Amino acid sequence: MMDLLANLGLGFSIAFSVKNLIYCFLGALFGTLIGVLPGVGPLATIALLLPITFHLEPTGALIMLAGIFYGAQYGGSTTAILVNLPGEATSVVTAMDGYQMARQGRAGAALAVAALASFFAGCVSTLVIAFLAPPLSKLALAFGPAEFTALFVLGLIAAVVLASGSFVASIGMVMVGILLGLVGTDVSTGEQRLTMGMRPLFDGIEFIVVAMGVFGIAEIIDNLERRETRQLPDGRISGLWPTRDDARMAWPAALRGTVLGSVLGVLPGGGALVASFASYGLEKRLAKDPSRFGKGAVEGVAGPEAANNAGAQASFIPMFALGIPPNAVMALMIAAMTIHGITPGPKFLADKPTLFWAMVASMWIGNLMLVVLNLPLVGLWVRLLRVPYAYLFPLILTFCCIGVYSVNYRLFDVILMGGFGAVGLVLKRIGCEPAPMVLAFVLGPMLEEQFRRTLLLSDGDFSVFATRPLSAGLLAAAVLLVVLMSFSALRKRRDKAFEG
Amino acid sequence: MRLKIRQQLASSLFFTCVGALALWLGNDMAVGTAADMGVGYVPRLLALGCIGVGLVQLAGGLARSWGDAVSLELWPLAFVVGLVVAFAGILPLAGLPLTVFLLVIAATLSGEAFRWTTVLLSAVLLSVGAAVVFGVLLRLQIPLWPLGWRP
Repeated sequence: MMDLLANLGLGFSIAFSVKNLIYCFLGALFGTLIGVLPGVGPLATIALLLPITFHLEPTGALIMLAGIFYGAQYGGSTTAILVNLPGEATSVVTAMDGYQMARQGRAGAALAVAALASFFAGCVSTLVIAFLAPPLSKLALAFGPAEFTALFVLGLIAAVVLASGSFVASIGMVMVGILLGLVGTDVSTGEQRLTMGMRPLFDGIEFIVVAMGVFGIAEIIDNLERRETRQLPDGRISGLWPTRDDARMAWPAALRGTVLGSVLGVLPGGGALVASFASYGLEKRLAKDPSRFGKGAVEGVAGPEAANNAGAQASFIPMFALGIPPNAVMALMIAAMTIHGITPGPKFLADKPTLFWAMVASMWIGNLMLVVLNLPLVGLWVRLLRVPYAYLFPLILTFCCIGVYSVNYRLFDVILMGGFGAVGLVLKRIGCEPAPMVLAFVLGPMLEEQFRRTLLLSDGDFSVFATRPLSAGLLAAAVLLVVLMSFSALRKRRDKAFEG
Repeated sequence: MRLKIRQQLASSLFFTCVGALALWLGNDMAVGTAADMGVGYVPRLLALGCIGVGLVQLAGGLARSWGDAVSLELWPLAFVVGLVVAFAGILPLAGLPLTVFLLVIAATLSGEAFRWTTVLLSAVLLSVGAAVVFGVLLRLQIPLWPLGWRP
């Protein structure tokens, strides 16, 4: 254990120099500035800024990359909170209550809580990596296809439980989401599925097209339609900072989110994503008054943001143990690190400890820079909301169109986004929450692949899911969630019956 | 024009239709067995699941209630989707700045209260800003000039 601490110290001694701190600050600044543009998600931001780091020496490049990563992530959370435009799957959760807080004039509090919760989670999970990297990388290796399948099912059930609509409808939305995710070329056979012969669909549907459509475009239509009754975030500010009550409620949530994120993040494949959804579900379940969720509950921002960040940090463990990045953003980070001589794989931790620890340390510094940079800027971001909707919505619309177009330079994607906007609005109106659909869209292809592989290995025998302890445990947790959920639904109905 | 429908009926219809569509689109895909799944196995399962959800919603509606009446105004929906489609249609011809300019001008038809001076100013700022940020600084491969013209 002592040499682990010594390793961490070594990492910090490499990463901490005036020059490196300046690189990190610049990275965080550019990352935030680009990432905060509505329609430009973290993935696009990092991709756009990568070339800047190419000319630096490895440590400097690494630390600047960490700054860009955090800046882009936080910029994404900022647009999710201010204009309900999640640029990536994890911000979907942040947007649910963060945007509602903004509508109530608490945008400043939401932004500050998001920054502080992720910083807290970042600090804790850096220590978690230092202490637990070796044993946990062994646990990750124990994950077979059955366990992955069970993990994804658990994540999707958590998403269903946290959705505000009816249980049955949310299950339906999950299935629709997986179907959408399966559109395109099948990975193992190369056959086209559900594409209707349309060539642009052969590569599948881009996540950003679905997310921008059902959240961004649908929101614009909704606001234009309910002109008389809508409540927009109008830059009305009841304090830039979280109140004492906010802080009291946010701290425990951030703590639980951190634990969830650290635990789920070490599971390869989508751990961080599942963590933020799971954290939201957990907070909603623990809350005395779950009906506040979806209406601006501060725990709904603090928990998932902490879980997401802790999960992203912890996911370095499986990433380096197995070489599997948990999501597209991390895949891009790996690609960038490879350019600077860091090649993930089972031997990396043992062969190049200095680089590994320098990376862990620079992630922490990037996180710190983010707080230093963004807390003073909260007021500026909030002021953006004072722009009247007549001028704001064309701006959001423009960025959505350019953002979606810039992913693959396909006009088809832009039109498809419009289609998803229309469908998303209709779904919201008829009581079908789109958030579980979006999560299922991301997890769906991985779920199918692992499911197929499990049954291939077991020769079509479904009992493997129950006989392997880890997968049985995960599935039991999913069943438990459903049972808890239906109990509280039953109680609610009975209460209503007594009242009536 | 305003569409009105009961919530439960609408969601029942939606899930049944999506399921039926997926069944129809996937009817030529090999299903296979659990031990050796074809590409159609999971999609078929999900399509049947969607139809199942639709039927449960239908049964719930028949047994209890069809839920609240919800309504949808068609004009804002057609308007916003129209703007998005127009963006995609005009961009290759007009280039980014001009497209953005036209989009902002067209957006005044939304029915929101606005002042022409502010609209014109924001149209100019946004179109120039978008061209500078996305075209010049970030070097995205977006056409900047009309009809493929280059300076």
